[in-house]
Amino acid sequence: MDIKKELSKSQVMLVIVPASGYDKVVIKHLKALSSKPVCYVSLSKTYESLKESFKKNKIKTGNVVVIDAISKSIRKMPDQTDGCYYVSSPNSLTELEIAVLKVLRHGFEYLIFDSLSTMMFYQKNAPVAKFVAALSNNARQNNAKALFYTVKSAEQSQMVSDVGTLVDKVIDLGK
Amino acid sequence: MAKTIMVVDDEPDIRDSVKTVLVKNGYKVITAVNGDDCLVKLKSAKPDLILLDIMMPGTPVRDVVPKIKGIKIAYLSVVRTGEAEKEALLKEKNIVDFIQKPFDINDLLKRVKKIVGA
Repeated sequence: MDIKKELSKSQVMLVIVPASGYDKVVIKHLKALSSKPVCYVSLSKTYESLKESFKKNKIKTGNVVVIDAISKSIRKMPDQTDGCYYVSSPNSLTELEIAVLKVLRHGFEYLIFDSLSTMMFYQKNAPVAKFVAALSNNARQNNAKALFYTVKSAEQSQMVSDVGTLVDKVIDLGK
Repeated sequence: MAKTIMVVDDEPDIRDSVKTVLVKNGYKVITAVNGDDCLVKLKSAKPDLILLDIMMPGTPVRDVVPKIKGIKIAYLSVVRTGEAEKEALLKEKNIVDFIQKPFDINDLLKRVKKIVGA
């Protein structure tokens, strides 16, 4: 699947990925998109961990801004460093939404949200769907293209069904 | 005397499976559903080791850990951290191990034995 091609047809997509190949898929997509400015929201990997992964996968980080919703829960962190905004926790939806909006306003082409399945550890279906609706609207208003990732699992079927109605296309890589 | 382990995790499956294995291996186990619950239970218990999930709803571990005095803590982490970050976390007072989820239950048991003894 050519993610760029898919995004040229659908502005906001939900991508369902089997757990086994999850990280590889997200990194592959990021690599394909990183020639343009990308806002990468991480709910399960710290910025430091992502930097190691970007380096290993030869991803140019100049175009990537990360919103890290993990590190502040673990350690004392500033609100912002070069290339990264830190949000209190994956549970702070308003803070997360404000951070994304702040970044998207600066002409970012893509939003990668990693991941809704992690968000489901902390939230119920309804707030997650509402959050996706808000972020999708922000992306559309700022002419950005958004990819929401989730790990394929039976537990997430209701969330996938709810979020599926809010995006332009659902891609299930587990089929 | 049996060593006491406190398992702090918001996922009931993890709490139950870890408890089952530890109890089977002769440990006394206390469970807590999050950091706040852990702090409440520590008022009446002093375990030899706390297995503490790093990401849970409620008070973040960043604020929970400094309130735990004189008890060894091993992080259980679904969160992927950088190597340097992991090393920094392990240098913090009381933190004795960093166990990445998903973990092999036998490996976890080995690590618990190494920290507190059988």
